[in-house]
Amino acid sequence: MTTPLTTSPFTDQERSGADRLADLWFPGTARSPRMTELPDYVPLLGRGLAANDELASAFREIAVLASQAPEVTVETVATWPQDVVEGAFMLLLCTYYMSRDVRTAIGYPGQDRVPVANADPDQLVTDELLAPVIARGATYVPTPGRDR
Amino acid sequence: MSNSASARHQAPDDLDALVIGAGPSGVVAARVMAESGYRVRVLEQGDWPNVADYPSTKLERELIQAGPWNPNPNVRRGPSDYPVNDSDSDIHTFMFNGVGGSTVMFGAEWPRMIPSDFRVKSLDGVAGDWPLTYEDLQPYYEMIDEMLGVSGLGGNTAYPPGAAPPQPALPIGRIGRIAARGMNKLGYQWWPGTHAILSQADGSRPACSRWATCVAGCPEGAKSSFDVSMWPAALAAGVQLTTGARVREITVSQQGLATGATWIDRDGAEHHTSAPLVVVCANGVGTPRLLQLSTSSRFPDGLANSSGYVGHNLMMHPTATVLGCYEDDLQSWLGPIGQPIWSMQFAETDTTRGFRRGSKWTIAGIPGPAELIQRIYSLPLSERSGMTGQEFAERFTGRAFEWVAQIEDLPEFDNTVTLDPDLVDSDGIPAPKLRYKMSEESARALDWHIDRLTEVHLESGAVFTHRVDYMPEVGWHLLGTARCGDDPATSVVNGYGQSHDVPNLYIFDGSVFATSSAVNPTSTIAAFALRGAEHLVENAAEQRIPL
Repeated sequence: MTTPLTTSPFTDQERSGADRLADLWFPGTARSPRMTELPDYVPLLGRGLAANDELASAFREIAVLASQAPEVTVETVATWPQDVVEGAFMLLLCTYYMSRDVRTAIGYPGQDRVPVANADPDQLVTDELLAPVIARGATYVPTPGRDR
Repeated sequence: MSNSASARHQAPDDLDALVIGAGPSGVVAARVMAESGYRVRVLEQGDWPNVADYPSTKLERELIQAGPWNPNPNVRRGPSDYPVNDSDSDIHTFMFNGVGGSTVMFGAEWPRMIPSDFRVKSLDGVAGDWPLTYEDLQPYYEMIDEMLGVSGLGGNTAYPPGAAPPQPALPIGRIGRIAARGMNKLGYQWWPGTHAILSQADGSRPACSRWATCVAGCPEGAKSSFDVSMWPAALAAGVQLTTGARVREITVSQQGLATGATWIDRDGAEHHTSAPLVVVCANGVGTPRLLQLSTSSRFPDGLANSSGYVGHNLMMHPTATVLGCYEDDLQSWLGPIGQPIWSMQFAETDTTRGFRRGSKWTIAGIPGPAELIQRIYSLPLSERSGMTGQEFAERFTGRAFEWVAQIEDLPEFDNTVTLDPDLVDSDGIPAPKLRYKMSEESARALDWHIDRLTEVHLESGAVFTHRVDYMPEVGWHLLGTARCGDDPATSVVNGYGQSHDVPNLYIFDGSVFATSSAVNPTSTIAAFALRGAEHLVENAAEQRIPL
């Protein structure tokens, strides 16, 4: 399911529309790369499509619409079925941030093993931090037992 | 008499007890009984979870969680799942059908109910009191904590004195420290999280490695999903477990006692397992469904339902969140995902707020940029995409976390689980239909708490906040549909989970909750099951045996 694809997972029409959506939703910034310029753009999108059939279906549907539109803009997309658009966006969003290049650009290391034994001091609770809570005392309402 | 005549009867079942459901309450009950010498068999409609299937460590994690690993069975649609008609429900149910139950997907927050939760009627004049007290349950909470290896810090000011959790608390992270500072400025109670997650290795199970993907299945085995934390001991005690076994009906004798269950295997073949004791642990939706499926001339309205309360009073914990974004690097992708710190400041009733009972607050990290942008889903797409969306992720990835308010849901008789007249599961068994409308009081509570959560973010230094007023997709806590009580006219089971109507039928899951509390229920479910199973064993000589 997660094997990178070596060939395009799209029809030519879907690929054309996918590129236009990628350029609209992830055009790149001064810091983050443009999605269509990612070196692993196509294989990543293939992994994304393989991971979720329903979102893949939504994406293909919107990609076809995008390929047929004279121009793909925010206004254009707003005229398409919004639940399907949201599915397509979700797929592209998750796929974009799967890219190592993108993660590096924004300083996100990805989810990984960071053992609790290696916790830094600034990740731990301190007596000083808890002192005001303890000073205020108990907050619960004591209740007698039903037979007491 | 049941209609199980067509079932394929196996060799006589030489059992003392049959348990339906292999989640937390089922395995606790089975283990206790087996360790006491009972011959116990557990029927589970799902399979053993496979760590290799977990999306936790996969690049496509969020996409898999949105589909084949979704906590909503209507989205996931696995072979173990049954559909739930939730078209008439304000909240959609989450559950996992497999060994370990929904703990496979839970965040392992492990709070206890507070004493007043058991005395809501006496204190606040609403709902009903439980037929047991916090003090009754406290020793069992502590025993369960020991069995699982719960981590936390003793002395929580929100609770009566008692034993500290057996393992040290997990790190609260930078998000915990910044949130705590804001709480201190406002003079609010908070405490480091109590988790059913190991902070130190225990036997073959390692300590937490802070993946923050707990709800996608713990890749380490540090989280106490009950398949790894409780089932090995149950199996060692001799419990027999049958997976892929979907129970269709609990059968009864002419004397009105439970005799076992009819179930269907994955090939569609029907079986019947006999036992002199039946324990139902199928969750707050599955249990009333099964009781309503188990009709007979003696129980025409469903098994154990002389009160008419089976399937009523469904409670699900309305939840709201406020995202706070900060300028500081908070490493907010680090786990534990839920409850690095939490607060019971507003758990008790203060009617000047405009509602009764309260809420549990907790913080939660954001594991990655895609999830960060999903948190602002309610904004127009144009504000989440394009350069605007990308720059939002650049600025706040690792610098944002949520405050979450989980509202105590009071029982409403008309919030129900019934059998759907049309929808069926893959075996043709009627599916459950939910009718759940959030009360006006719960809605007022949500509004009040969201405002307070925003304030504490701002007090902590947030530069951007975004509120999600109400989350329909968080129906983790399925409670109240076979409530416990002293009065058989208004409850289904007693304080030990024993059916008022059918003395050899027990229920130990969240359906027994008389009120919902504001806290996550699994520690109470497990403690109730432990207490009930111990009571069952200790009083075995007094129980009637079916003929």
